[in-house]
Amino acid sequence: MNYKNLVFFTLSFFIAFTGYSQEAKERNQENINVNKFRQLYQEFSSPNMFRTASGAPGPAYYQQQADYKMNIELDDENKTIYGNETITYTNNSPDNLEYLWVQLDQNIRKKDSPSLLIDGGGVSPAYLPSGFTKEFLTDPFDGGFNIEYVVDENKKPLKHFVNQTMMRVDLPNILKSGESFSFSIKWWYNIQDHVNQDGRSGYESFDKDGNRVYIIAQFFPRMAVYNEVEGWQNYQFWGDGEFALPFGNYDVKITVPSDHILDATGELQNRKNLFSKEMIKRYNKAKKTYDKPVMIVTQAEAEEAEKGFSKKKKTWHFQAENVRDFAFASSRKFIWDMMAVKIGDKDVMAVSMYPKEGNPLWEDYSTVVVAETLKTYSDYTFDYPYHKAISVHAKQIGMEYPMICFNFGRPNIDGSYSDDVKFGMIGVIIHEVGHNWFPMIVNNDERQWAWMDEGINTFVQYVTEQKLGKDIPEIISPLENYPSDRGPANMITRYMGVDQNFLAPIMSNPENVYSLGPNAYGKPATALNILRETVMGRELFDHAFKTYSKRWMFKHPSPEDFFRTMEDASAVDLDWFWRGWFYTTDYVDIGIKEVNQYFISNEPSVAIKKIMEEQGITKLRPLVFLEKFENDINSVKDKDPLENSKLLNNYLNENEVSNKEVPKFFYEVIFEKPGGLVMPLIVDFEYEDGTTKRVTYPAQVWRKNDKEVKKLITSNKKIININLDPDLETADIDTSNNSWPKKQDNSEFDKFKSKVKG
Amino acid sequence: MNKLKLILIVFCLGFSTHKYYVSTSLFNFTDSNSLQITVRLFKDDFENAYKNKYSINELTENILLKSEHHDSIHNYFNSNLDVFFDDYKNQLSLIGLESKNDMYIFYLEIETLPNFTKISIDNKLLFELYSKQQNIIHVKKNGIKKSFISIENNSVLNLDI
Repeated sequence: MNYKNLVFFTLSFFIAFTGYSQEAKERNQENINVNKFRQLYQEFSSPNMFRTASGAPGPAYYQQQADYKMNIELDDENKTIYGNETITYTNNSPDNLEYLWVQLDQNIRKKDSPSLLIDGGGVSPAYLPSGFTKEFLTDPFDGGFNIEYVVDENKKPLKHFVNQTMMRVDLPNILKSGESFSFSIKWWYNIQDHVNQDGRSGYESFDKDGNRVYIIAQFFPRMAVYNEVEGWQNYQFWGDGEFALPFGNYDVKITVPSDHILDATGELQNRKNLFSKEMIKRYNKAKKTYDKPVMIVTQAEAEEAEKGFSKKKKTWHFQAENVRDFAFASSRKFIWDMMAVKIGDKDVMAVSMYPKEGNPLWEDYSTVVVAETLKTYSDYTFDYPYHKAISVHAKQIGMEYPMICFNFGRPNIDGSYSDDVKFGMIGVIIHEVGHNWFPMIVNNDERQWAWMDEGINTFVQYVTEQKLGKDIPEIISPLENYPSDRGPANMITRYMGVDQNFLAPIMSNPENVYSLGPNAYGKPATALNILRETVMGRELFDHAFKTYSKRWMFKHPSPEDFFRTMEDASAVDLDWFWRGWFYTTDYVDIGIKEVNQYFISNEPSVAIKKIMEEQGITKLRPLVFLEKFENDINSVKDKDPLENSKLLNNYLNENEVSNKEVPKFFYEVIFEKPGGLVMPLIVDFEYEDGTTKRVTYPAQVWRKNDKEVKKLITSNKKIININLDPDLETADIDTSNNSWPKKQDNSEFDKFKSKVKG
Repeated sequence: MNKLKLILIVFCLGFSTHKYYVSTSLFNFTDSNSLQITVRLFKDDFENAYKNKYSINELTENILLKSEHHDSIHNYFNSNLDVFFDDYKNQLSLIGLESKNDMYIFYLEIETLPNFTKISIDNKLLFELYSKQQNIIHVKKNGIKKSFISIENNSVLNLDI
């Protein structure tokens, strides 16, 4: 090694390792892997014969089956419901079962329900009279199941024990793998007023005429899930964590006043006995009408029916195959319309039921929106497998069941309504009909993981809303895009930026988070939207998402099954994304910390001179020097770079070089990351000639330094602006550090003030 | 539609009327030594509070946005939202309000700030009506951000500057 080379070697060694020596001093005492890109082996359960590492059901995957035969009677006069059900439970697990657990969700309404006692709350210095009355002057509602008997097939009583919202039924003999057991439960309960007493079901009273609209759900003792993840469900129903239910076949007869109109989960078996000839005619017409709803019961007919209170009864008979639940709605106030939708090569009926108080909103939009939802969800997942989807109007509820859901959105008494009410109604219908896919068919455990159905469903809801805006522009006119309130990245930043004490990771039980709306709906939906639009791209995402939906159709997926499938079907490692977005409360904040401009200098740069002085180096081998703009004492920065560096000029003349265009401008851009989440760097470079170049650096740019990353940008044109995340697609909570030079942000406040003060 | 809805309402869960009583306020210290306060309240919440304070039976958005209500709105804020610099209370001026979807946005300001080492913000907005009210406060000063949630028995944010 000759002398010159030695100097060069020392120099490059010194430069390359200055960073190292600093790091060594502050070495992390905790010598474990904290890299944001490490795999999720600690967080994920181990793959096994039931659930594979690819995220698909494994060769030993099983699920239990619960079939129901029920006779139900709704007593409109006493607001009471009675039932007698026979459950046939089939043990498909490899395990022996000593007892069964049955869910009694109505028990959350018992006077002594512990769920009434779990919330904290202080005193208010003042109350509205209505609030005061509700808080202090209302007797607790006498709700909850009254169990009359639990018997086996021979009417022999079975030992059972009720623990809050669950009932253990002791089996006379062990239920072996592959065996079935039938037993019957007789029950009744008082139905509550869901408008004034809350809840996911109940009745709404129309005081003027004493009529009621019943929306009935969680109304019968239902089998809990037994599987290899949790064993028997042992998490009580406290109110927020919804349901986990096995699939089964249902045969249900519901007796109601003969002037009621009723629809429910399942296929109606005795239509001919219930429908008038005119209704049959209209129904047959609806089966062949694909463009607009056909009235089965008109508003005039419903108003006529409201006038009487029949003492006679009628029984509606439904059968449903492969559903996880059963619900119905019944009232003499119902207007009823239907329209056929082509899904694949099958016809599905889109149905709406609503009291006149829902009009004109409901007759105009409900069924049309149901139809659009069925089409879009089928496109992105799998074809809707059931024969109908019903949207029922309830005053303040949005709640989902197989084939039937209850939705809010009510005009003012004079029939007028704001855009908020209209788009709120369309959004909730898409959402609740969409729940047919998640969790009714892709049947996750809602009690443990609300985001698996709420978040995933809110994401597809967003996609559907945007598509609806394109497919039926007259619904959103004069707007150009549907005004979705969840999905776009910049809509979640306010939530993700709040005090960390009030945040919980998405991977939390729904009972234990502060704001379930953004936690289980908004944030996961946004995360998936960002994956689709920014991280994976639509093609890869859509394929993987469809794979997940199809793999777990009519099965019970766990969170890992979703995470793993999304990676397995796309060949995109997303452990870093799941870790950050789903397992932490970190937020995105990425900024441009500094931009240094360099030019090719004709003499050693200030930095090199300093090193030479410190090291006592007097001679250098010939080098091309980059100097900072501010050190341009000889004013050569605007000269031809080859004129500045004769050395480079000579080298280029003597050697074969494919590209001889030497860049004139060198920009060292330092990106910083105050936020914990890792995201791609999306950068727009704006040149002085007005052109813009977009460069996207993958998230992996952060893999070796989570705080800061430098990029050297070369150009022949001067860069006048650098903008980070220009389309606001990464959920960056603070965009004030996203541009260079720093933009003087004219705040919302300043804009308003100058408007007011003129 | 309003971004805030994200934080505020359990939308499609099936809970009827299960609303989260939340407001957000941004306290922005500007480079020109002023404090700009932007408060977002749900329309129905504020209208209830306003009717309650001034014993008004009927109130609509159009009426509220009229300038004749400016003084009473100003008064409502000065009695429920206190800003102290070194323990001295400063009056807020109300620049105005506007309506966006289901929210009102109020713009308040302290135009010239005194010298101070400590600031306290006591946000009691709507506490007189809702015991579960949570008022989220964001403070921005010289690029530093601090967030706080005012609740019934813990409504004051103290910051040493």
